[in-house]
Amino acid sequence: MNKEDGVVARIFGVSRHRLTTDGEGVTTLVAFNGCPLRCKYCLNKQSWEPEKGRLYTPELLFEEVKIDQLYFLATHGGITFGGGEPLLQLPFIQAFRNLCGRQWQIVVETSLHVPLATVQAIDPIVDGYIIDIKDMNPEIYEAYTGKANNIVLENLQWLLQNGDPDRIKVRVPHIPEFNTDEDVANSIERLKSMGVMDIDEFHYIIR
Amino acid sequence: MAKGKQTCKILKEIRKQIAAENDIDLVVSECTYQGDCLGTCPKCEAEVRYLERELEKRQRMGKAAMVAGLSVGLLASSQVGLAQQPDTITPKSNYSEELMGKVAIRGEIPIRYIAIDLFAHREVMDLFAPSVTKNLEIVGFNLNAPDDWDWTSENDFMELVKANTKNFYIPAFSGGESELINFISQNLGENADCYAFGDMEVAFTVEPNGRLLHVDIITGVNDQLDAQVAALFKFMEWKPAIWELNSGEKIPFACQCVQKLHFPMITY
Repeated sequence: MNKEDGVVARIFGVSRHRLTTDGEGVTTLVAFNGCPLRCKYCLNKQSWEPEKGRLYTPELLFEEVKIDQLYFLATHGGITFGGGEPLLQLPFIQAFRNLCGRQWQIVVETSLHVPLATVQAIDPIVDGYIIDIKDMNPEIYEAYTGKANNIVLENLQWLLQNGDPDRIKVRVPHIPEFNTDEDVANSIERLKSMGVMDIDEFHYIIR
Repeated sequence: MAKGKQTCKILKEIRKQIAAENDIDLVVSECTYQGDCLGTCPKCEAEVRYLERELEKRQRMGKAAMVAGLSVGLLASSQVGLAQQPDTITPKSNYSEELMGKVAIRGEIPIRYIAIDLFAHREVMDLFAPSVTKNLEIVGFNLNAPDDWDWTSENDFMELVKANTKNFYIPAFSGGESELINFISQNLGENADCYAFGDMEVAFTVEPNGRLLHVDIITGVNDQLDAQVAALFKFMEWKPAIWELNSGEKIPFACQCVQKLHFPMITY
């Protein structure tokens, strides 16, 4: 076991027994605080506040979630790291992988809005990606998130060229007031041309 | 509630298949619980732990543990009406959770946790000899009887109690559990850790005068929220436990309780 001393992260949610939601098996969703984006309809705005949530070490989280190890192993399930932006917690996820071993599936629900080096570093320890691409149009993306999407596209391109596209699911939302059905269709078209095979078109529900 | 039951069924099916694959004798009884189901419960968890122990035994004996290869997708599709899990987690109103301000809580007082300290009160003790009832399901007595108490066995004692009791009322917060949840939610206030989540168990004694003593968080969520909730309980007044005799006389007495509170994640 490679214990990473001093690695901690704020986690605002741990949700057990998610079935076929984040992957093929029984999964536990772990939601980190901290996100580089400020999406208008963010479902988890509490994740924007870095001081909120419970402080975990990888060891503490592992102790808490391994209660479902039998289900994970039986169903090819494991942990889905979401948030917030899980890729901001690279050392934590690396340390967690050392604890749980390779048999658990680790999936990240990410915007990919992180440096390419982070994606390259996390790629060997992650089994799958669920990528919320927002919109492929840079203007729409920036209007909705407050950030440019060039690094997102770079990262996606790198993942598609350097790994198995089967590991990647890209979610394309209809975003009220920000994109149209035509924009969504354009995004999907472009994603397909890049080599994305698993595309999940969905609607943001505003509450 | 329906989603929790469906999750429970699927997880149970996984356990059955693991047991079958590994020749483990697992007797799974049909759950008859009609209340809110979160998809798992202490009984379900105990079955998982049992399977783990049995698998460990087999591994120690050099046998391979066969646990991989079950498809939840198939298991899910075999369940009629399985609802797709939402991408967001929100407090479920049918769990009797209530969102007050920013704090969501679900509570319950399981009667099985109630222990009765009857001998703590002279007036109750005095009533044993001449009187006492029926239809009473008391699950625990503090049998620290005084030295001069004349009883032959615990069974006799219980029979005596049952034979002379008309009714038995457990302690309750004025207005019931929903009011209790309102009270906690409203009084935790803006300083509460509204992102904390998990299950909490608060132990306390409701005195005959309704005041709460010996408040103790026996299962905590985090230090901050535990302290806030404990402080609120010390401030509360409850309706005390009442022992109603066949004669119609009602005697309040001290009663130890455990209140369970569930703080679900809010909007994810």
